[in-house]
Amino acid sequence: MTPNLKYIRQLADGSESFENKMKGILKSEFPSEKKHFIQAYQNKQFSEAAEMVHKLKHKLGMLNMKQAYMFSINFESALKDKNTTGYSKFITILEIVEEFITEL
Amino acid sequence: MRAIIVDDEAAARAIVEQLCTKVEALELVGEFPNAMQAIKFLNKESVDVVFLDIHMPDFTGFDFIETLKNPPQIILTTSDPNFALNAFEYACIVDYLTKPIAQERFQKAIQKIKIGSTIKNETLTINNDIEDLYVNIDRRLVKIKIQSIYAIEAKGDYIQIKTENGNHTVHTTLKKIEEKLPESLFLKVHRSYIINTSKIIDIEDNSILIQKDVIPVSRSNRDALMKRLNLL
Repeated sequence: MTPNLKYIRQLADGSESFENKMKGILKSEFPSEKKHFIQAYQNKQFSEAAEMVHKLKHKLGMLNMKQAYMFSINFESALKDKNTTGYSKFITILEIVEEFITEL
Repeated sequence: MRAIIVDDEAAARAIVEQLCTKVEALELVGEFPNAMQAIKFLNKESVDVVFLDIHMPDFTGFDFIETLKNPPQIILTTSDPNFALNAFEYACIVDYLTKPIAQERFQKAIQKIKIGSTIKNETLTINNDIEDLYVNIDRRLVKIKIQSIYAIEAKGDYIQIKTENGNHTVHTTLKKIEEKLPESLFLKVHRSYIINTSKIIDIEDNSILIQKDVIPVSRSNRDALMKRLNLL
């Protein structure tokens, strides 16, 4: 469950400008999406929280976190049914990603 | 081929843009964070391909497709594999890519567009010459003057073609007949209704009076209708 830039670098195919652009987008989008998810969850707005999981899971995919991506698919679906059992694991995943992105 | 990207996530747009740079035949002419901006663009410009996200706030990718009278070829890009079945309901959708999109898979989708473009152009040429529509009613092919049709209503597995000379019930779908009608004259104004815009008597909020029929206009189709009218 360790994030990496393999997928982004494959697409970049040597293009530093694309790689930097993606890093910039991740740095700007991820923290606000994480914050939005936590707020929605704490306010018990599970449908909105599921919307944010949908956005966040794409970023997990971009960072080549296949298991985390698969977990997020199930968690998004569970949240729509107000099932919150995956919350703490999802938060752990988000914290791992946040730490990785901060160091980019 | 002229292409646009419609996706609310900047990261997703950047990835599709990068994938497009690897295909010489593609010219990316616009990127939009929501469907409404893309619709405004398509009212002025023609494109061959739309890379369209399904899951967007307020106006989904499917809402976007429903709004377009003649949608260009569409490649859906989504993180949600559950919509794949819905995609089969739209003839304009040529492929369905799940995020994160692999480069090889993207290339395969592009190949499908090229094949699709050729077929679509041939079909349009044939349609432009047609003034009459032949429909199968009780094992007879009945000729209907297209200009005499003022509305078509979907009724389960059937449609009712309403003309100035009477109504005809035919076993087909609204989508199939829509493909046979000239786009300059006919417009889908509701999930269950297509109208001949030249026969409109008046419009009030969410309904249209045509002949003696009051036809509902859905919110998602209202903009397309208003753009079609010569408003003072």
